[in-house]
Amino acid sequence: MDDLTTQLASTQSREGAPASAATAAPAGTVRQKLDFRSGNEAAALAARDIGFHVMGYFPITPSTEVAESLSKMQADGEHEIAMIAGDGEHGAAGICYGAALGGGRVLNATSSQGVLFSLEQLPVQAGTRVPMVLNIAARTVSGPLDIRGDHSDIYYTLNIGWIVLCARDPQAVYDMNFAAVKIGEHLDVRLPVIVVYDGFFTSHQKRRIQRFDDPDAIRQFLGQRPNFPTPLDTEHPATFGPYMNDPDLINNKVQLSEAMEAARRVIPEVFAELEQMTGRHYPILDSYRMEDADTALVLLNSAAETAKETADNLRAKGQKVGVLSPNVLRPFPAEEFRNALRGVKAATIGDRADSYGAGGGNLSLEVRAAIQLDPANDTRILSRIYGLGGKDFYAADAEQFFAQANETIKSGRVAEPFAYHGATPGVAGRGARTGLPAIPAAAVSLGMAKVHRNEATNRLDVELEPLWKMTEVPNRVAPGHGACPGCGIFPTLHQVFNVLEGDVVVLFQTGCAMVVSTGYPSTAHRISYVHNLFQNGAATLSGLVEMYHERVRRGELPTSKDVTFVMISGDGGMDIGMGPAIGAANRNHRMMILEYDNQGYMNTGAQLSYSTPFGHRTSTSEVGKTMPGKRYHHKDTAQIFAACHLPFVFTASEGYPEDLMRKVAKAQWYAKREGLVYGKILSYCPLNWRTADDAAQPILQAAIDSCFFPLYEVEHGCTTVTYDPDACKRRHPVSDWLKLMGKTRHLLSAANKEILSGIQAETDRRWTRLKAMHEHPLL
Amino acid sequence: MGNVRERYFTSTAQLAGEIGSPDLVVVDASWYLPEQDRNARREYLAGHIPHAVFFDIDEIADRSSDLPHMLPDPLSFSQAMQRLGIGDGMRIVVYDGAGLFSAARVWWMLRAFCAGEVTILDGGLPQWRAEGRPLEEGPVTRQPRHFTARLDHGLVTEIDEVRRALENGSAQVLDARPADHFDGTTPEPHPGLRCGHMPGSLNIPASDLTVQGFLKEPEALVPIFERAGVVWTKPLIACCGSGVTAAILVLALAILGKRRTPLYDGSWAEWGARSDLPVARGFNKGHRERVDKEVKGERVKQNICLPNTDRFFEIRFESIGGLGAHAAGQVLATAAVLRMGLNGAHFSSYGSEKKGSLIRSFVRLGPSDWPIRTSAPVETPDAVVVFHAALLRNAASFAGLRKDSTFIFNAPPGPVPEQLSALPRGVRVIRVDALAIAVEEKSRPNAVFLGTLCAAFPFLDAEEVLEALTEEFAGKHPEAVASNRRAFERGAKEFEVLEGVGQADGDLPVGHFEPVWGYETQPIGGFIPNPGNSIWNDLSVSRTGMLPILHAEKCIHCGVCDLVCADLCLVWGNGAEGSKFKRELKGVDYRYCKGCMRCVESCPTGALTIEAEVPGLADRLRVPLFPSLIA
Repeated sequence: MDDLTTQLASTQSREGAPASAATAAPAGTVRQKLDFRSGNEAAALAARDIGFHVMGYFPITPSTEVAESLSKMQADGEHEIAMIAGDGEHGAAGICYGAALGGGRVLNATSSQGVLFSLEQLPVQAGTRVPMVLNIAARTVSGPLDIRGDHSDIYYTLNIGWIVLCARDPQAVYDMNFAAVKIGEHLDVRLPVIVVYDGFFTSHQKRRIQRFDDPDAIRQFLGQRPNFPTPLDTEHPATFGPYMNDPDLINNKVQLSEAMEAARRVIPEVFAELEQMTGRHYPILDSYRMEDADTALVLLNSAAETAKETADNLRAKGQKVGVLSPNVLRPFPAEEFRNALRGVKAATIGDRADSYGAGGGNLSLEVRAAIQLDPANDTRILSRIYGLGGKDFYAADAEQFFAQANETIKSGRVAEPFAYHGATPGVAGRGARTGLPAIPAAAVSLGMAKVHRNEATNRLDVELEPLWKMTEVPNRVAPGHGACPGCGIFPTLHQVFNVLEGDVVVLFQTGCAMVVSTGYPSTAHRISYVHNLFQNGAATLSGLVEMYHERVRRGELPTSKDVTFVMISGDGGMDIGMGPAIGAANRNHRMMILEYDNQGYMNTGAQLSYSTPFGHRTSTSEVGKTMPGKRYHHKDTAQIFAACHLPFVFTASEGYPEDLMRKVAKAQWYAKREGLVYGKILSYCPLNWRTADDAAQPILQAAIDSCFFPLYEVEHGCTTVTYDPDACKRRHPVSDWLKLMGKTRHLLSAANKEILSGIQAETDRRWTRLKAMHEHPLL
Repeated sequence: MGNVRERYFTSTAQLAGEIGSPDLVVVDASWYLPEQDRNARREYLAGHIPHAVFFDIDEIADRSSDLPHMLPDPLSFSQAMQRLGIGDGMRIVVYDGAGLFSAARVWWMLRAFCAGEVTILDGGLPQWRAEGRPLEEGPVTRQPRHFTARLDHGLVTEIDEVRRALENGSAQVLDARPADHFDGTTPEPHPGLRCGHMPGSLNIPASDLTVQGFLKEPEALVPIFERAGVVWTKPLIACCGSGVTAAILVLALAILGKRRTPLYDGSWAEWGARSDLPVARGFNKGHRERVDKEVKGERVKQNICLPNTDRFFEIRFESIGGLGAHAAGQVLATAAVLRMGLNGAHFSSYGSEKKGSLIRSFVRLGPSDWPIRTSAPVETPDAVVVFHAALLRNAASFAGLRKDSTFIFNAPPGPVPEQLSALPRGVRVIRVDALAIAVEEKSRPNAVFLGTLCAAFPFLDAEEVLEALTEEFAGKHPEAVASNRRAFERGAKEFEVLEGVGQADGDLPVGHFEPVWGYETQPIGGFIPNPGNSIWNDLSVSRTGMLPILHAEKCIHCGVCDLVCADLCLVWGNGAEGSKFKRELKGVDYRYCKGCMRCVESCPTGALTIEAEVPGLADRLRVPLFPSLIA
């Protein structure tokens, strides 16, 4: 076949676009509007158009944009969904469960570890039969931590009793959200529904979409949410979630299983109704050029679209190939697979996640199980694991998959039933470059901060060496990290490490500091470093601490080392990880928890944290005509830990290095001898505070001089203010601080006068209370 | 506008009241396409508006021509009118059986021969019937009247003139045929004619101009013409298959104020038969494609010339976070999809990296009816735009460039960077001083590059891209709109095309990142046994034109700067022999400095200052932190 014919053939097939792809001209019966949106934006638009009652969420890449887009739209008055930022995904799932029990429509969006952290809650919701919609921008599961897309998170949701709809492009994300509401609320189904789309490949890629421009049609399609029993119906009191043991639970699960079977019937009905409105067709199993195919490629979501291009090219060369991709994963379209594969001689099934040890990923295993029930089926199957951790899937990869399947037809045998595709063996002798030698304990024990216990006061005094002398201390963090210019985390760490003596083991919770300092295969850490996810860092470090002491006790490790254990977290990690941190504090392990507080979840793009002050703009507390930024006051984390009656709690700021270093020296003394120390350190973030890279000093100063962020310490329960702006006549109103940052400038407008005075009043109240504590040792 | 319409149309009510007036003649101009399978004369005899005479388009034509129903000579026309009883000074009302179809042709013929007052029955026979008005059967014979036929040459044009107009752009040629005929995607119904259209002509299907036998209102007509690409200030020529539906265009244009649009009477019947004349077809053969475009909720057609006919047009932006590469891609793709009617995709390579680190942004564009399926990154780009000169050191910036690609990079005038010789021979190399323009205009380099891209690729509609850019910023940064516009416009003008730069033979291979450790060599568990090996990273690309400079003579070596340095790149050592300082700040290792200037801000003596980073300055002043490893 000459080039021209090939080209014509491929053009022909391009014309044969799948009915689901967004076209420039909408078909269907309702008014639609052309737009250009990413998968996340499409989910947010759908949420707006559906008009959910409540969204409970917790930011996690790459799904965060759903909440961000909705926050922006909310600020502009485009919807009235109550947006509730959970303290973590587990909390978010709980918020959603409660809200859905309340009888309204509920939305959530998450990814990866967020799916897993929610997982404990999700079967509860299916088992108690409470519909809602959960968007999952699929991302690989830790560890090591990888933020990109694969299907290892959604495969965990296959056994929880939720319906799972797949969306291969932003248009499908939009459409499936509508379908999800209607399917889940169907009286024969009554199940929560997941809409899954590929992280980054779909969540962050802008494509042409058609969206509804016809609110009446949407209302008509969705109808009212049926009146399922709800605890809010106090006239008909009922007990939700009783304790149910063995004779009964199995019957509850039979009902759940029947609901899934009912969904097999309901889903095509809803898809058909949607198609009538939109002109877009979603079969349960998407079959592309499969009519007379000898060879098939089975893939989930976006990779299937790439493979279709390859199928077009191979068809043009006369090969009988096609692509199968399920639009519904639960209930699993087994019958559809049996029908589609009956005449197929060989198929490669690609999984973007492994079910380790099972000889294939879940899709592969389930398709194999499905066709085994068909005596007429003679398809040879190759199971392949590909694209893990977001590794791109190119047309050339699909070509190899087809070729491998064709090879089995030719040879009559499956040479390699299971294999990883696209991994790199590596070259012996090659590897990451060596870095810097270990730092001997003596080299970092130069006495930069001399700590003495004052026997009279029973408190510690610290004597600091001059700053210039501290340059003699070798830095435990190497340069070459990827933080933003002007980032406050590294000055903070540098100041901390200037005074910490001896061997130190650090645990970083997930966050900017962790991500920018350890991009594989390079690390900026010159000392022992552990990362664990920020739900659990404090617990993890406490385990490490106890193992250390136990091994020292058993003589397996030398006593002389006297290692100091330090956990570094952002303020975000102290939201989602609050429980384990409080647990570690209550157990009083000999360790330090240092929090760099930059007032938001900066690593994921500046969403609000509970430490974000009132009124501040973040990407989930947007500023617009109906919203003035964050709507509740910042968490007083230092006081929460003070209430744990720890030996030492402090606040500090990288803008006051000497004060910070004195406190850290004390912290090490207490952490080695007495127990857990917590320190909250105000740290600069020019990118998300919307300030110049070099404006740290005046802004940190203003935050402290306004008493918004007082510097103090609580030593054995006695509070000492270490810098008193009143006493040195530097006290300023909070407006003098807020006017310095792009994220807060709106608070100075006349319209926000009341908010500003509210911030001032709360600041004054907390400061006055703190001063009282300073004056009265018993407080 | 109502008055304008009255000048061209007579309502059924008005006609009903005037039928029988001695100065009024009603003309049944019905005519149907062969495929419509209707006999106009038979239908006329079976029922017509009372007193109406039948104008046979095929009869009253140049019988000597091989082409269908060409305009006859004035004498023949005059005689034909005489026979029908249409005389000088009479008011003529024309209608047809379809509502508004061939009546426009007869209206145009009468005008071309300078008949007096000619109007079209609004809604035609269907409307007349729908209102239950009386019909008459059988032929109508009127008393012969003298008709003076004088051809108005301004209203009709011929093939040579159309050719010239298409070649030199002196007039726009509008083709009224249905879209599939114009595209050549439907077999040509007339035997012997080729499929397609005249290269460069614009398609305005006549059926788009009417609704249920009525001409649309002017407000609805204007955008149809405009979105097809009609420029009102340009002369226009109307054509179609054989000169019938083109007259509907002429009529619509007259109502819109273009009162004398010539009609190319030979139309596709002539051009399509001439094997010596070029033909364009859809998007496949000609560099021209038809796209649907949605503006203000209405779908219309427009022509966009895409450079590629067999693959997507793909752009890769190479940048560092903070220079606006992601926004540039987004603006461009949004303009292409929502404003130019193309299909498109846009995405960026996200990692966990932050402001100042490498970022790639990808744009993939194609004709409206090509589905975009792959979500994989752009491997063999048609254009690469490099936002920062330091990225020229990165071989990945060039990966996959073909010899017919375009390479646009950001650099001040001067010698051509030697790294560019690695480009393929034949690559179009464009240099623009985007950073300088951006600084001068208080904009960002992305606005400049968008201007340059539109200039380099004329199919990118500069006006639409600029509008999309404005829209992107109007909400968030209204103050930036004017400066972005200036930066864009300068980018479109102030660039150099560098000749003879690329020296590599053939296309460059696509870049696939190979990990340094594989599954046979990676330490088990994913840990890194190499403490502090981030020192091998080079972060200097993160600086955006400025760096901090130490003036040792002013330095009191107090150590304050060291506590605020975010990049841990200040180099300290013991005081020199005889120095009064035990420790001294020796300088900056610019390999790691991202240029935040916190050190400068903190310096109590002014020993650290901000300087512009001219090429070579950082290398010259750099003091290495690890001289034994990285000198």
